[in-house]
Amino acid sequence: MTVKLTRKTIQMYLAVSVSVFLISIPVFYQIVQKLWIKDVDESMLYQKEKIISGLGEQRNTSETIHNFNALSFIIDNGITIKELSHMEYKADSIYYHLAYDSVRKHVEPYRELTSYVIINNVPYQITLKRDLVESEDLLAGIVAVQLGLFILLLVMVLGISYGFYRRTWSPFFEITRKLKDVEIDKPCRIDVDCKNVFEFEDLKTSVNELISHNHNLFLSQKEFIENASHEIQTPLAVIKSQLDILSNSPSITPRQMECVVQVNNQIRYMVSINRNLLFLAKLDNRQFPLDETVDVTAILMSYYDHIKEEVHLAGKEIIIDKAPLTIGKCNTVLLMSLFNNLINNAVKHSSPHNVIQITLQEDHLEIKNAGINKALPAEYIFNRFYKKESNSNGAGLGLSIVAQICNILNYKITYRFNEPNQHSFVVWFK
Amino acid sequence: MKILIIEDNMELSNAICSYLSGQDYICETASTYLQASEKVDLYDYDCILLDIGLPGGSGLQILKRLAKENKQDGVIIISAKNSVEDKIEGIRLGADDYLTKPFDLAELSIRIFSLIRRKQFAGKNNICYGKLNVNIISKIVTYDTLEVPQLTPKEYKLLLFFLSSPTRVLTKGGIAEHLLGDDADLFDNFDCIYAHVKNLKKKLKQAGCTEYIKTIYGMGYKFN
Repeated sequence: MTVKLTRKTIQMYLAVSVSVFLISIPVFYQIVQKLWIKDVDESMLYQKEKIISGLGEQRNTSETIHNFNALSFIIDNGITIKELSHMEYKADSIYYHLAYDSVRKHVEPYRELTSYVIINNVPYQITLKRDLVESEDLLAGIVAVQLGLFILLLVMVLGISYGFYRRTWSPFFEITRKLKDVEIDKPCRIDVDCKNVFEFEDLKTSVNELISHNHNLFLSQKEFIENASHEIQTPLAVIKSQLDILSNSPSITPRQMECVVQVNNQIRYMVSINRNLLFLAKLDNRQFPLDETVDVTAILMSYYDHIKEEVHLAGKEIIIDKAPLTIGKCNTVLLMSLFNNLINNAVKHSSPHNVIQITLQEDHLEIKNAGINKALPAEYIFNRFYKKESNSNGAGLGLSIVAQICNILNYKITYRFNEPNQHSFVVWFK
Repeated sequence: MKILIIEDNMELSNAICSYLSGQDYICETASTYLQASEKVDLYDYDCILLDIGLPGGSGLQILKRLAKENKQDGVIIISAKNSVEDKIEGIRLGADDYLTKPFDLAELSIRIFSLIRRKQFAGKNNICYGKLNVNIISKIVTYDTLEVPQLTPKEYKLLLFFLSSPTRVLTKGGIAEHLLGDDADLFDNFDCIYAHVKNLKKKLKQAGCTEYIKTIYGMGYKFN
C-alpha cells in the first residue's frame, strides 16, 4: 500500500511525539519529586539545628518545651520535642509516610525527621513533619503542563511541516505531474521552477536527460527502420525487374522457371514486410492527421467489393451486417488499413468453405471467422512479428498495425474465442 | 512510342529499358538531374518514367519544368517512397501516375499502356488484339463478331492486363498484385488467380476465342 508523503511524515512525527510524551511524564515526576524531597529534607535538617541551638540558650528548657509543644499541637506546625528519660544513641532518620488527614479527609504523604539530641545534658527526641504534595496532584500537574506543551508543539510542527512540505516540495509535484504527460514519440522538456533547491534541480536535469535520451533513441530507431526499408526498395526493384527479364527469356527451362517463381515469391514477401514496417514507422511518427469525417460503411463496403471475387474463388464467403456510420476526427487511410488488416486476417485464417461474419454497428465493428480449435494468446497476438503458425505467409505485422491504429484513433480492440472454433475481433469506436 | 527513363540506378534503368524495348517502345535513359532536364528540354516523349531522388536535383523539379514549358509528355513517377502525400504532391505537379518501387515490369507496362492510350487516342475507345476487341467505355468484349459473355470487374481488369503485355509471361504473383494491390498476400497460394484465368478463358471460349491465353507451367500465363 502506498501512502502520501505528508501522511507518512505526520505519522512519524506523531509516533515520536507520543512516545516522548509518554516517557517524559514518569521521568518528570521522578525528578520533581526527588528535588522536592531533597529540598524538604534540607530545610528540616536546618530547622533541627535551629531548634537545638535555640533550646540550648533557654534556661528553663522543660517549661519552654512544654509550652512549645502545646502551641505546636494547636497550630499543627509539625514540630514535636519530647524529653527522654534516658539517652538513646540513634542516628537521625528520615521517613516517607502516608497518613490519613482527618481534616482534609484523605491520605496525605509527608516526610518525617526524627532526631535524638542532648541539650544541656538532657536527651530529647525532636520530630519534624512536613507535608508533601500528593503524587496524584503532582502527576496531574505534570501531565497537564506536558499535554499542553505537547499539543502546542505538535500543532506548530505539523503546521510548519505541512506548509514546508507544500511549498518546498511543489517543484517535485510539478515534475511528477508533467512526467505523466511525457510521450516517447514527442520531444518534450520538463521546465519547473526548482526554487534553488539542489536536489530538485538535480532531479529535473536527470529527468530531462532521460527524456531526451529516450526520445533520441526512439527517433534513431525509427529513422533506422525508415532508412533501412527505403534503401532496400531499390535493390529489390532491380532484383525484381531482372527476374522479370529472365522469366521472359526464350531459353529458360521449366526448372529454372521454378527457381525464378520461388525467388519472386520471397521478394514479394520481403516487399510486404518492408511496406508494413514503413507504415508502422509512419504510424509511430503520427504522420496521419485526424481531421476527417469518414464514412465507415463506405470504406467497409469498398474493401469488400475489392476482394469479394477472390474470396469467393477461394471458396470462402463474407457476410456483412451493416448500419450506416460516419465518424469524425478520423483518417481515411488509417481506417482503411485497420479494416483491411482485420478482414485479411479473418480471410487468411478461416477454414475453407466457411463464412466470415462482419457486423458494423454504431459503436463497434465485429469480425468473426471459424479457424483453429484453439484460442489465440490474446497478450501476444498484437506484438510485432508474432506468428501463430510457421506456415502462414504473413510476417505477423498485420495485427500490430491494427493495435497501433486503434491506439492512435483511441479505439479499443478486443479478441474473444468462442468454442469450438470461432475467433472474434471487435473494434470499439469511442 | 518514345519513353524516357529517368532513374539513377543503372541496373534498374537498363532492365526497364530492355523489357519495354521488347514491346515496341523506344527507350532512352537519363541518370542525373542534368541529363534528364537536357533531354526533357530537347525532345518530346510519349511517356516519362521519373524517379524522385536524383543526383543533382529532385524529380519534382523536372515536373515543374515540364509544366512551365507546357509539355504534354505523360509522366509516371517511380519512387521508393510509398506515401499518400508524395503521390498527391506528384499528381498536383502534373504527374499522371505513381508507382512504388519495387514493381513488376508487367505492372509498369500496363500503366504505360493505359497512360499512352489516354493521352494519344483520346477519341479511340477500342483496344484490339487480333480479332479480339475491347470497348473501354461500355466494357463490352467481342471476338470477331461474337460478344464475350459479361466479365466480372476483375476478369475485365485481368483481360486488359493481358492485352497490355502481349507475348510476356505474367506471373501469378504479378497478376495477384495487379488485381489486389497491397492485399495480394491475402491468399497463401494463388489458387484464386488460377480460378480467375480459368473463368476468363471459359468466357472467351464461349465467343470462340480459344488460343490467346497460354499457361506457362509453374510460372504463370502468356497472352499470345
